[in-house]
Amino acid sequence: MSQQAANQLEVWFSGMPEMVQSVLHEPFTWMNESLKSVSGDPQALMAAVPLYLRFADTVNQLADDQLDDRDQLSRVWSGDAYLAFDVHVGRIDDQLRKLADTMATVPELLENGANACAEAADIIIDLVVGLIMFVVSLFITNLALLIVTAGTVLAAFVATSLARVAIVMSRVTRVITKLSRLLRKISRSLTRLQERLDELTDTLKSLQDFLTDMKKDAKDFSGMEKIRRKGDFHTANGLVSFGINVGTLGIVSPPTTGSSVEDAAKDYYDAVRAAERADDVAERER
Amino acid sequence: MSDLTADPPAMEDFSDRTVARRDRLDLIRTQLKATRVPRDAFGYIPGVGGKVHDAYEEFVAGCGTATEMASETVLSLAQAVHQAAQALLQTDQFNAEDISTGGQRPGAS
Repeated sequence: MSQQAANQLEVWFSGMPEMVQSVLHEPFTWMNESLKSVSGDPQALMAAVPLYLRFADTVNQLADDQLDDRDQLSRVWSGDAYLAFDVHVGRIDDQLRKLADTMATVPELLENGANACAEAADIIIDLVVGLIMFVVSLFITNLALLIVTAGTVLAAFVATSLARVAIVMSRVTRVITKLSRLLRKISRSLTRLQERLDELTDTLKSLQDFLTDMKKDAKDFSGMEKIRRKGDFHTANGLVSFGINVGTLGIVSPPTTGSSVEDAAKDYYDAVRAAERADDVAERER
Repeated sequence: MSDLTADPPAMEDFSDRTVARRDRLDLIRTQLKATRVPRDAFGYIPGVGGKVHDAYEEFVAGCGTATEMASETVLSLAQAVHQAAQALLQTDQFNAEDISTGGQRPGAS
């Protein structure tokens, strides 16, 4: 839009009296280039705003859904595996919220950038138009006098015009400096967000490592749980046999499966679990 | 060790829904890649305009990577829960066989 304004300004300026164009040629060219350099593409920046807001909303919604599903699962699943799962869901949720927050921060930066570019362009357009109008009106005022005192008036016209040009150019420079400062600020903010994303990615990577272990554990769990339950089964079997034996004063003595096997199985299971807990503690201490 | 209760079908449901969440994260990642702005979107003031654009491009790339990692982590969660459900089903099957055979498994030494 501002690019179009710059082009329209060029067309408008080319229709000015020769004398005005001659005095303002170089300053106008510099100011018009400045206008183009600050204009940017506010429409493209603003077009990205709703997309980031939608991404952030979706990620938050996915995190909410995950927590709802976790809560439902908590009613039918308990035990060590569930506790590990619960911790991981919580950690993933943290990272998804951070991702959504980061995405939701960008629209403000894009909006600020778009508004600042548009505002800077508008100010420069106003300054350029104001300058040209001033010089044109000065030219018209002096036109009549030009006939009477040719050289003096011309010199005064040029001097007055250039004095105004200097003021306007310094204002344009201030506008560019102010916009540059704001754009640098946006650049730093984007870099900080990028660093936050890097940390988030690293955290997710380590979470994924944990989950890979959890998958492995789930496979191992099958074997361990079989051993543990086998131990429980044999223990229960042994207790029932012992009860019958005592209850019948030794008249009926059902065979048991033997305690050495069941103890070994339970010891193995407990040892593995203890080792895992020690690993967990060590991991937390790190 | 805490008491164990589990509902493998409910766990499988969770896993399926989590895979669907992964798919939506993948979709966001694809859309993120398309959320580019022109090189001169922030203007081209020497030493500033290009720098902001570079920072924005790096942010978009970082956002894509983070979303991709979130997607993979969510998938790993789904797989872990699926594995846990499968392990429980296998254990139940094992125990059922164990009870029916009185602890003597055919072919077991």
